[in-house]
Amino acid sequence: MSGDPIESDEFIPMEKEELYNSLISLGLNSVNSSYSYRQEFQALVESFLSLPISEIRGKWKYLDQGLKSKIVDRHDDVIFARIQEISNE
Amino acid sequence: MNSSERKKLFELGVESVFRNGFDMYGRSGQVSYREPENYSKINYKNIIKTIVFDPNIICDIFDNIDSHHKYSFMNACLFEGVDLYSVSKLWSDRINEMVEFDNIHNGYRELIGRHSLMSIAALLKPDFNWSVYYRPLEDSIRASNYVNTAWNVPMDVYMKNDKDSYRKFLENSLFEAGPKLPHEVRSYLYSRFISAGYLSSKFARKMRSDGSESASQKALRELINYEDTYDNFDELVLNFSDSRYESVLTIMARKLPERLLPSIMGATQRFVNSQWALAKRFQEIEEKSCER
Repeated sequence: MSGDPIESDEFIPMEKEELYNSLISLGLNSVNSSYSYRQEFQALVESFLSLPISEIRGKWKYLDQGLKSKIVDRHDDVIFARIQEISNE
Repeated sequence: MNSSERKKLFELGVESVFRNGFDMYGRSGQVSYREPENYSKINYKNIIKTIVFDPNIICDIFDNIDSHHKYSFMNACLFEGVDLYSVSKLWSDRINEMVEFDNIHNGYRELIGRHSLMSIAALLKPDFNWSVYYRPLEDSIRASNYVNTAWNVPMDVYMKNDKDSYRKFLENSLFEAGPKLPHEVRSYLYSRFISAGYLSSKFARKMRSDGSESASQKALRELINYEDTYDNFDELVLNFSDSRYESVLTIMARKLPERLLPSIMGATQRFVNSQWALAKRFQEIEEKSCER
């Protein structure tokens, strides 16, 4: 099986990590939508929210507002502790 | 998050991008990407193109995604000129599987389905044998009471691969003696006949005299759209000036090139609306020339 990507000179392909982050984020946005509420989907969102906040960084810009507020809500201790640290520096 | 959860989210993301990443797409091979929006950081076009030019990115999850998204992906490959069949054995096996059927009837039924995976797979398979479907295609068009837009793919291939039989089929279906096809199907075949460049004065007169106003209108509109295809366009289009339909004359008054308008002045006198449309057109032309 050939794994070589096909070249195109018309556009610059996204970096693998960037593409992965955008697709995972789109998947999260999709399952977090009230239109696709299913138990197993909510488990996926829950699993994502339980990640350390540092792992969410690359995906942040692609996430919708609903997920962003859930992340802030879940990790508020870490976020405010860090803010406190910075202001003490 | 474990690896199966990541895989599931990736799969859902791929589905989301193929669901939301296109403005619209009609005939196979025609794709219009959704342009990036100011408020969003998601560039669907770039994501789709990255996947399309490196199909192995979604190789592992392709079988799990919805068939409509499979269609969108394969259609985008076709549009971008990506030879998916040659990417790997896995992709060629998938394409082969999509075009294999126990018999021609089942295959044809799948071929003319809406957003048919089979039709797109057949277009992506270099040596696909289209000719076995020409006869069922002809039969189904002749028996149909409505137009199926999925006919376009096999009809385009038919025209490209077997011009003589294609032309013969159109001529026989439209102009041979015998029961006439429904007007909607006639209109569709008129369009195909005209766009292929087959129109002559004899057939233009037959279209002008069609028992259906709608079919006659459709033929005229198509001829005007394909003006550049015909060296004798003026002669062909003026055959319609004797039409008994007011709407046909009105379209002529509105759409014909300026040079032909004097030729339909007499004909439009028969209908109030056509006369009015022609007068309005002359007025517009005069106003335009005054502006210059």
